[in-house]
Amino acid sequence: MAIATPLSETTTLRVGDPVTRLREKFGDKILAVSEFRGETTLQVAREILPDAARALRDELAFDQCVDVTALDWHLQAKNAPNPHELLFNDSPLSDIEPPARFQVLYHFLSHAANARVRLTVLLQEDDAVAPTLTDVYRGVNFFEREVYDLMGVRFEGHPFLQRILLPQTQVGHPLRKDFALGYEPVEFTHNIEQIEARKVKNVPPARPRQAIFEVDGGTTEVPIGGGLTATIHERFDDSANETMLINMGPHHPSTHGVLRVGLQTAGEKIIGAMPDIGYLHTGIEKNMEYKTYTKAITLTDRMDYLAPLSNNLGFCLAVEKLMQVDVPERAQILRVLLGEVTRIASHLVAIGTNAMDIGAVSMFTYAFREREYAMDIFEMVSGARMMTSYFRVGGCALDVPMGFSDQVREFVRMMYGRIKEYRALLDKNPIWEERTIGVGAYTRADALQLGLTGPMLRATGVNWDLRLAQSYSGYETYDFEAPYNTRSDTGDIYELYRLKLLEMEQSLRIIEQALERLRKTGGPVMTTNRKVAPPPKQELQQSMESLIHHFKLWTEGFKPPVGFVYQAIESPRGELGYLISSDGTNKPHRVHVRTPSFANLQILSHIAPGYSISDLVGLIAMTDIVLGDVDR
Amino acid sequence: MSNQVIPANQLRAPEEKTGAMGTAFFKLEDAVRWARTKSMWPLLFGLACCAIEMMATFASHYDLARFGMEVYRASPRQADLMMVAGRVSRKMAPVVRQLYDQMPEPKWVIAMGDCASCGGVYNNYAILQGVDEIIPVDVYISGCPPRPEALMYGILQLHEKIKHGEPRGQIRIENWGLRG
Ligand code: SF4
Repeated sequence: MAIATPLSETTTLRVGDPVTRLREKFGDKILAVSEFRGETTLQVAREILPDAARALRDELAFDQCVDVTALDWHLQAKNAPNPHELLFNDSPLSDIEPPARFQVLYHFLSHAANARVRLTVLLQEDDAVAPTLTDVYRGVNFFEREVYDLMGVRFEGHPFLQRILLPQTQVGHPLRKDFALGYEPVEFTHNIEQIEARKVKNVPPARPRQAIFEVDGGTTEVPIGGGLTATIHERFDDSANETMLINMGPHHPSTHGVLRVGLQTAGEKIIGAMPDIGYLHTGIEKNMEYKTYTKAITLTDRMDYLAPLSNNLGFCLAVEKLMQVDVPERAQILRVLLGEVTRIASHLVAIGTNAMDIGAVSMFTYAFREREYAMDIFEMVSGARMMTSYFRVGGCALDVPMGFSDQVREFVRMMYGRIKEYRALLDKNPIWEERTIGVGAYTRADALQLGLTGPMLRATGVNWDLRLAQSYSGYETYDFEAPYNTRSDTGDIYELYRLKLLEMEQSLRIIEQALERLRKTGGPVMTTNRKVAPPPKQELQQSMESLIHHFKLWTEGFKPPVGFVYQAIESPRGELGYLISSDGTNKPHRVHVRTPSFANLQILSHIAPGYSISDLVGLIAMTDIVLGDVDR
Repeated sequence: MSNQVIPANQLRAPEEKTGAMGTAFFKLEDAVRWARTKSMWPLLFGLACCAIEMMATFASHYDLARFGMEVYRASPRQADLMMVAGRVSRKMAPVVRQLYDQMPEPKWVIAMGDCASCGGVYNNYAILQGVDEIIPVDVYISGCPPRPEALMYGILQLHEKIKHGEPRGQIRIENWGLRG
């Protein structure tokens, strides 16, 4: 096996400044450039987009396109201030006639230069077509489908531009501003008869129910679930008629939720696999547009439900970046500490279920035994076991209770021993080795192309961890390392298992240091910026001003300045990025979440061919997807 | 001893275990109901966050095996209890309905969590406002997610309901672990 050069050693590679370089190359096709909160955005003409992306990839070492998303400026141009016009004051939306409606954003990441850049194109409503980037970065495949599904922007040349999250029968594109939230009125009644009336009386036979969707004020009735199978089957060429199409999921014990995989097999051997997602699509991004920023935090919990605190953290950091709020020292420490406990709890479930899928059920019971201790810690600080919503914009909700440090210290002490136990159970276990070493091997080139992040990227020898590379919450001051594959540049199930155990040990190291700092650092856990954080109770009785702040905050929330930012953190699964666009009101104009599971899942159709169905469950477990994170 | 009449609902260990229970007279109906509560096979079926708490409930710490409920079946044909653990999206709804139809009678449904009971925090285009829109529910458990204790309590309530042969109706378990 070739010895891999860790990517960090190639950082001497000089990369030019993307703005100057692209300007030189494309001249006035680069329409405008903006700098906002340290993020560079280039607005380019639609026709040069693939070339600009190629230039970024080949000449400027931007080796990943991490995210594609779109904003809808419908109704916005007239009424409210528009972030786009503020950011690019030399290029208003109305520059084009009729005014542009959609803005597609592409986020690029360079590992070598440790830099990010964003390209954007503006599109008109009746001509909402952008060229696809799938030829340049294969990993944008899912992202472009998502934008098409939710926003209705078409991508010319995309190999399979179909709805990805919503049923094929869905009418309209829900994230457009003229698509109603589509809620059902809540019945506030104590009249039991009225409530009972809602119950199913005569349950109809198994026939898909009709769902009603609201589009442009009118309603359309479409059968839900229609066309479920069509898309998968169309994809495979079965002219030889020797293969079988098998449907796995969405109800399957080993797909880690409601993942559906369409399989083409010859006997036991898989020839093609295609994930079909969206069975847990919850409309969280749309719902957030109807909540104030503080309330939106509660929705973030419920996306990646194995790591709720990481989700909270990403969202809070993004809003803090937009509002330029400082977070007190003690809150930073707590964020790091609890973030790492979350990482451990999440990896425990990942390893436990991975082993169980392959047949080592005892590992599952061990993992869940330890997870309970982590749950106890969360319960201690927030009262909730899973959905804590503990991190808030500007700090943490409360200070930790008495006895917290002892509990965490006990947890750390115990975990060191338990990790040894897992090693004894699995490391040299011949069955485990047989089923995992070399299974699902994928290369670094694939990982970069497909937009993999987190442990899945590190397993191919890339030394990249956002906690170290683009540090947040003071991670740079802790002494730890991000384990990565130093032996080869291919990842497999075993390598991921090994890295996760090592990562858990590093997390324990971080927690120990954080505990030490927590002891020494007193002070508030919430910022004193009264525009964001409510004043303490005692102040309310003394100061009129505090009362006003308190009233304002709880009735309408805070209003971040106009603009959009992207903030990424290292969640247990990889890069979790929040794009928040604010139009200056108390509710976000758009929240987009770049979730690691969504991108990581793309590797599945790549690695599955050639393995048997029993290996597939291991491969799904390897990608460590959480369906709530994939579908949102 | 051997002629002692023991009402069905008063059978207790250790007699149950040793089998030295003597003779008991009761209505066949009661015996069947009692047997049903002791051999429930839930469907191994999780949708979202609540499923993680369901897993925690049958894993080591809470150990659902204490109630004889740990034999999760992956196939609906072998299961008689469906715990809808999580939010049901409109894309998933027909699948849930089909799974329910595939389960043999008699069958019961527990709506675990706010989402399955009433849509929870999501009231939008994507989520069904309660799984009772597509299948009949026997026990509702509130909480987001309900604590494992709440789930266990819900299961015990269902057992009670089956033992007493109550007609299908709804039991609401409220104020249990409202904060998850
Ligand atoms: S009730 Fe809460 S925990 Fe359960 S599925 Fe819904 S959001 Fe998740």
